[in-house]
Amino acid sequence: MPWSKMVSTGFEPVNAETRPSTTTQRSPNPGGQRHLPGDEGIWLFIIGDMTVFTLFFGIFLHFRTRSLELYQNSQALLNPDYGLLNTLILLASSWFVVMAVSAFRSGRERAVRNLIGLAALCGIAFSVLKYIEYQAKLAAGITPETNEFFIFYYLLTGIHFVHLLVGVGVLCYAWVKLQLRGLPAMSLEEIESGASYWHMVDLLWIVIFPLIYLMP
Amino acid sequence: MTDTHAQPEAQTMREIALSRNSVVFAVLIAITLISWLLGFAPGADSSSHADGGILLLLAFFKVRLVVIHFMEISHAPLMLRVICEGWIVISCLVLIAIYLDLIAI
Repeated sequence: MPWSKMVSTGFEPVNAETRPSTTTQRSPNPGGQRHLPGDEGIWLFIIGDMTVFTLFFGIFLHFRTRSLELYQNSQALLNPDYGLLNTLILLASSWFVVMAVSAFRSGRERAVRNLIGLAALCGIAFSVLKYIEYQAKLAAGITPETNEFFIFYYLLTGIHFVHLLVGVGVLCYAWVKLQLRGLPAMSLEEIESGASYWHMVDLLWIVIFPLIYLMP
Repeated sequence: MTDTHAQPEAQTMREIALSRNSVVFAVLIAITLISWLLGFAPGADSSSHADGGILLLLAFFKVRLVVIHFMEISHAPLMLRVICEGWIVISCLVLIAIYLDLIAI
């Protein structure tokens, strides 16, 4: 049995009765059965991605303790208001996505579209703030080459930003599909996969924000 | 408060908006704002290592809320739940240990 299937079925034998449905469905398994939100592939990606980022966080903190004053002084050049706003925006976007999945399971087409649209708008708002923040830094002559802290700053926030842009693309794609062909355009598994990915983008930022902007 | 996995029948928008996940969202916002106002805004007087540890603990507490509730890991296959909870605990402890210079990598 492939590893991914073992994870998704909780190491139970896969047969017709216990296999998670991959066909279009409007409601989750009743009776409290275990359910993997999204397909196995996206979860393998999420686990792998989180592992890489966590290593990155560890390496950042390791080098930080070795050049504490440099990192503290560099951190003082950041504007944490951007970071706080972006945290609130991403938390809201995850909430919208959660409600969108519930709405999908309840067959509420317009609600799904509106909530996905709101989540996408949050992602766009985050992007605008990030662009403004980067512009301000670059205009002040602060680049990835400025010092060790700013290598980490640009790398961590930049790679996260790329993940977010992919997520915004996925949300917009889902919105257009739903707009053109309604609920049948997407399966529950597709919606849940996109949702799981988006939550990952959110929770990465939940760690990155204090790590880069706030650590004393 | 509704649990979307126990109820296969359709929910109203009111039920969706007033679900447990909305409470989780409110808690996430509250933790973010309160820790900000309580002086984890940089430049505040409290700049000790303990505050850094608390910041990381709060961050991973928020991460766990997202993982367990938003990502529905509480209803996911047991192996995945074990992996996720394990990752949260180990990452949090290891990062705090590196930050406090208790271990080096």
